[in-house]
Amino acid sequence: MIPDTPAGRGDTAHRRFDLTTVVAIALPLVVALLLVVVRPDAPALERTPPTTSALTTSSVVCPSALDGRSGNESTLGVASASGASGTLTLTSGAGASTASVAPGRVADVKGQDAPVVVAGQGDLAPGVVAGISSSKPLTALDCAPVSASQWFTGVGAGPTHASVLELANPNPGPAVADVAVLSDEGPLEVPALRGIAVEGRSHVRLDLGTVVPRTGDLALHVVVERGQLGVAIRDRGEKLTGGTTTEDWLPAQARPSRRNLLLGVQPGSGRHTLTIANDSDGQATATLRLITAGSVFSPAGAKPITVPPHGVARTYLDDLLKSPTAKDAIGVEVDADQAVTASLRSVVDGDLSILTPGRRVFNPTTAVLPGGKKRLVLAGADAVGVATVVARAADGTELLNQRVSLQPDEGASLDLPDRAASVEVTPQRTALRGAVLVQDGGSAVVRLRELVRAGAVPAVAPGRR
Amino acid sequence: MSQPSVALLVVSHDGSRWLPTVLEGIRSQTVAPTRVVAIDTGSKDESPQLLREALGELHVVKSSTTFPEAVDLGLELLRDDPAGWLWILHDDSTPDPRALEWLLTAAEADPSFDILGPKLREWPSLRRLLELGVTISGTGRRETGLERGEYDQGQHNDVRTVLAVNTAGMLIRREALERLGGFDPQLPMFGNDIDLGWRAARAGMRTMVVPDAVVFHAEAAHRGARRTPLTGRHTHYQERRAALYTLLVNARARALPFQVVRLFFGTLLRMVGFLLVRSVGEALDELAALLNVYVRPGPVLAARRARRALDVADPREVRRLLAPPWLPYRHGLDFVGDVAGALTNQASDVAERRRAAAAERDPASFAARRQAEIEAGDAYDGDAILRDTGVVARFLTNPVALLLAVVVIALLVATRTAFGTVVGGGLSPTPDGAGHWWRLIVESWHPIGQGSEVPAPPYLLPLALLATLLAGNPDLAVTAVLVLAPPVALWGAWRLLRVVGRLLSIKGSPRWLVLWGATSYALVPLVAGAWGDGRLGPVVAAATLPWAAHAALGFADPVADRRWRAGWRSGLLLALIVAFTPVAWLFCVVLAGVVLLAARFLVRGGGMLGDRSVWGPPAVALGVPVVLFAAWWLPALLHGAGHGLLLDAGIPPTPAPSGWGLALGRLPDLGAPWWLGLVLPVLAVVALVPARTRVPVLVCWVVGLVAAAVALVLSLVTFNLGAETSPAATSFLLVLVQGAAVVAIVIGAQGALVGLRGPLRAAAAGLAIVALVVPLGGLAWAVAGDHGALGDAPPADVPAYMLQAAAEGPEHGILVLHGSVAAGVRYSVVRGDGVTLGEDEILALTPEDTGFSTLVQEFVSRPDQHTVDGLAAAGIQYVVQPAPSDPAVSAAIDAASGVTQASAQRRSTRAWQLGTEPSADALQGSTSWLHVALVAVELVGLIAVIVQCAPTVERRRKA
Repeated sequence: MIPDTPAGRGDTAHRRFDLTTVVAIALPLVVALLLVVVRPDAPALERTPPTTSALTTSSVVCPSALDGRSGNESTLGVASASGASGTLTLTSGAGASTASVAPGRVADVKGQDAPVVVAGQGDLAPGVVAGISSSKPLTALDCAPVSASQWFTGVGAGPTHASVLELANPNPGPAVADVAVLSDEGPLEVPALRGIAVEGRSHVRLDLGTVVPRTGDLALHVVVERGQLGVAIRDRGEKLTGGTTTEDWLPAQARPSRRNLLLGVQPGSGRHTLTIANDSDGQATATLRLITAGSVFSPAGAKPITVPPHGVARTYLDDLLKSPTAKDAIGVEVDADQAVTASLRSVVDGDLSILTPGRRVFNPTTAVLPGGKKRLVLAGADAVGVATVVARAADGTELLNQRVSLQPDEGASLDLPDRAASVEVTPQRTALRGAVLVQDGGSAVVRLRELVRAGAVPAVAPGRR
Repeated sequence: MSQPSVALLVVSHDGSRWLPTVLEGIRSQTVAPTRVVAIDTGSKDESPQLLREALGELHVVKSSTTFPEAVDLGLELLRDDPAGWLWILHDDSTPDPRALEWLLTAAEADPSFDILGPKLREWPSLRRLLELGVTISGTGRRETGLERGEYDQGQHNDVRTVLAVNTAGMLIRREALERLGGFDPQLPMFGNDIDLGWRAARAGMRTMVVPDAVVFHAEAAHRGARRTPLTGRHTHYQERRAALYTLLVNARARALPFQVVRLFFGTLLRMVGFLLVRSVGEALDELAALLNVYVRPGPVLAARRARRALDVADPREVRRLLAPPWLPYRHGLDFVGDVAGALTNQASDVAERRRAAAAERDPASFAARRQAEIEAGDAYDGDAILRDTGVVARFLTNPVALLLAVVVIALLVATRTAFGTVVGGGLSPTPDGAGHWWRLIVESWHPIGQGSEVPAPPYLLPLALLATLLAGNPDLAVTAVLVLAPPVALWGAWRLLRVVGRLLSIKGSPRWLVLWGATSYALVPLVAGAWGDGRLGPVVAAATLPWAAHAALGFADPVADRRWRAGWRSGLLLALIVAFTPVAWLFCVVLAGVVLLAARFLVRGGGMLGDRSVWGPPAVALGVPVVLFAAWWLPALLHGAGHGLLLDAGIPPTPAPSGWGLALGRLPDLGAPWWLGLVLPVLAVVALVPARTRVPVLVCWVVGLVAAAVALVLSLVTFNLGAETSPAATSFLLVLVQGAAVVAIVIGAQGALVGLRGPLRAAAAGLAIVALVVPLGGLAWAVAGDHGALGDAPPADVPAYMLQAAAEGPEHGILVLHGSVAAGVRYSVVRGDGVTLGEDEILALTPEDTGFSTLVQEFVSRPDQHTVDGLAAAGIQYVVQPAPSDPAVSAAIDAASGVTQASAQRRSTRAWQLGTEPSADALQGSTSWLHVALVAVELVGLIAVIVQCAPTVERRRKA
């Protein structure tokens, strides 16, 4: 009830007035103080990292052998880095076979005109290694596990430089891939490369020269929408006049990066084409650094390369790699202000070899090598460390066991014995990137990769988003 | 003029209270009866002496003598008397001096009449009309054709033919009475007059009412003022039995079967009506009367045979004298209208009643003076002018009413998204029918997800009831809730603010101030973002809160019975709030504790708290939700879903506002611009300035303080719902804090407006303009629309054909995978027609089935045939991975044998079908009888609480 006469009825009213005034000042302050400390946690999804577990099965997919010149022989070398002995299964469209493996040994199988899935079960599941190589022309490729997304930079679709995309489905169910194409003029809409369906246990080959006839270098982003696919690109160069054909594999790059290490450069004369693709929304500016065994430096006079958004840029490094400064170069580093992909395509003495950035290696890894003169190049260390290199012959005989010291901003190289059929590199205290340059009447590069030794088991919990 | 000879028959039983007056009335008759026969049926008081002294002749019979027997005895005594007419009087009916004269004059004027009755007026008021002849309706109701308590102003003074007249003052031709065989002995006390009249009509005799003859009647037996061995305690039973008997024995043979059925169901309906107004005794009387008549058809059949012998009159003539057939339905409508009116008026006039009670206690007080002014009509002079104007004119000439209409229309426009199907944000799609919701409520084991014993959330009960009322359409129910909630909040806030204003001052708050407050409050759930995010919890809480607060004002009613009704009503409304925002209960308990503490310190003596009718009603209000939702909270605690007691209605997790959000009235990342919310808290502080209203404003601040303290405690609580963490839901506190601020501002403004002069006027005008930002800005923002996730398209994560398959049986489950290998995979299982409203909470609160989780983990990492078989055995047929899908997960499933890829509408959504035939064996659950019993308690309790809420019928309260 509102009092009909205002406050001021003697002492009691006065005191009550005072009390209400005090409360009227104190109460809002207390409420405000309480509200200030009310900070409930926002609803959040818990991020739980996966646990690792022993693999029960794993596989790599090798593309079909190249049909090179006469006398060409394709060989599929398979090995297991698991430390166990047993048989790996080789499955292709033609049927299944097995190859016996033991620690350190490499089993050679004749290459087939169809992709081969090399799988290990049980003890042999971790560390399945396979490489496909041919002698004329010299080509080599480390067979990789399936991947949902990968980049191929510097593919061709023209008369002198054409590439073939091979998609191999290792599973019984169908698979679908989408291929996005970047050109020097921006993204290309290629309906034939959208929703490429590959039936179970079969493969699809697409000649880019037919599908998207176009001069100039392209970059492909292959995304597997459904199922799993082994993806490989065979790159082919032809001289319209001389009729010389040269061919090699174009290895995949896992994802765009601001720092791209192209290891296994052969300095000297020849045609060295650097292709950089930028799928970001902004223009990318790339600079080059040369990697030698002992240093990484920016060559004098090298100009920054600008790559348009969603575009591809091509430069020739002939002059740079011919120059004396590049004499000892083992690799080229492409640094950009946007995440880009890159490849270096070299035609030296009529033989093609292609360098693309490999992934970082944290754990002991093994690569299967073709015959010929070999040189291991290592770079990309993020700390001072060492790498123990063991080269073995096909029968497992140890040919070389050497420690190579590694430092950030330095490369390292080590000549491997010609007989070496496999090389095992164990990084310590640092991660590294590496490749083996093989020269035998031509050249080829085999990249090192982190082997699949354990499966990631995601944390699973009920939840509706 | 020679008068015909009349014998007066006076029947008495314990009537000494009235007899002196009655005897005086007899003595003063202008035309004296030729003979007076008095019969006393075993009175225990001085009646026999009084009668003997006054009349000389008295016959005393035993107390079990019925009225018909007494009349028969009178006829027997008059055997040798030549009297042609018999005039009957009760010991509680006193005739006007000219009563007999008028009756005889009328009889003489028209000799075709055999029975004549006087105008009966109420005794002791003497002015109110009781009867001018009676008839009976098809349902057995005694119809007088008069309004209750109608004053006699000569408005019914026509002599007319009627079906029957009351025995009190009845003048009947002796020969006619003998021909009819007297009164029916089966009707010892009540209703024998109607039966006699009906029989007379059938026998071709005529009954007339003579309004000039007046008899005053106390109706002692009917009103229970006199208890005889014949009436017993249950007068209602006797009256009802008589009515049923009369209808059955006199109905025409053709109509009898229909009448039997009609009376049976009519009785059941009347019983429900009596139960609804808590008249259990009357309900049982109804049943007993029905059973008494129906179980023993012998007397009825015998009476029908006896009456058949009398039949001479045209049945159509007789029917004309009965009540028209539509009359019972009008009475039914009147009853519903009365109850509704009483319900709405219960708390609204609490202010007046408190003033009246204060005036009664101290007639010299301020309250009494004001009361006198109101009665003199001074206080409401403004309203008085409008009182006689038409509704439309009143509406059009009232700017506040016009503005109110504009606000309601704007609110409807702002909620246009909710028309039709509505889904999104925190609102799941609705199921196909209300039956689905009822099933969820009743089932103790739900075949959703991997099966769950977690009880359905409590808000399903009101939603299911609403959907059932709306022809079983849940879509319509959700639309109704979302569309009507803001106008209902507006209405409730309007009523609350008006009563609050009148509690503070006699004239109440100015209408435009109430309009400002109600509009600002109704907008709270909209501008908070709760509405746009489809959060039913705060939306319904906001709509119900002012009504509950309004009901709770009844705790302060001076009448104990009204306090109890207020307790039940606020309990029911609190239960509705608790159903949608369970935290409300916690708040109310803490608030009750604070009030109790304050009462201990502030109220000297503490005698008030010793009164059960003071602390009882609030305790009832707090207890009602606990009992009504026992089927929810008890099983929830038993099945490890106790944290669900802190969740709001809607898809968990519920957004929890920070302290800043509580003050500004904004849910995190939702709602109108935050700066718009600054106005209310600032004005709530300013409201403390006017000294007159500081104390009530401080009360609002104390409510805010309690809300802040509860919010602080709840902000420390975080629990896991599967892979998600969720804070305790505090959106109710947001609504409450905003509501308290609005009330504080209205009170403060009301205080400031008294005697506002000089520069203060300008300051107040400035504040008023600032205050206008709240409703205008809020309305504009809300009307612009499209602010939340609410829409009409349900998320299409799961392909339609899979849902079709899933609807065929529980075993066709769909495993839905979210997340990635790197961050963790979350899974849910969709069965039936997908996850619908009400199932979200069950799924989120169901404890993890670790065995199934392991199976899913194997499936997404290294699936083999064994895993696929395990999933199929768990009732999974399809697996869906909606975009953005982690390729690492889909690649693992793609590589599995026993799994084939399935199509999905969107390319980015991955789907698979398991090769193994699914089984429903793992989805069987047992029925918990505890749950069934608790649901029964819930439903019976709900009806009981509603019955307790109903206003007490006036008649009973007086008794």
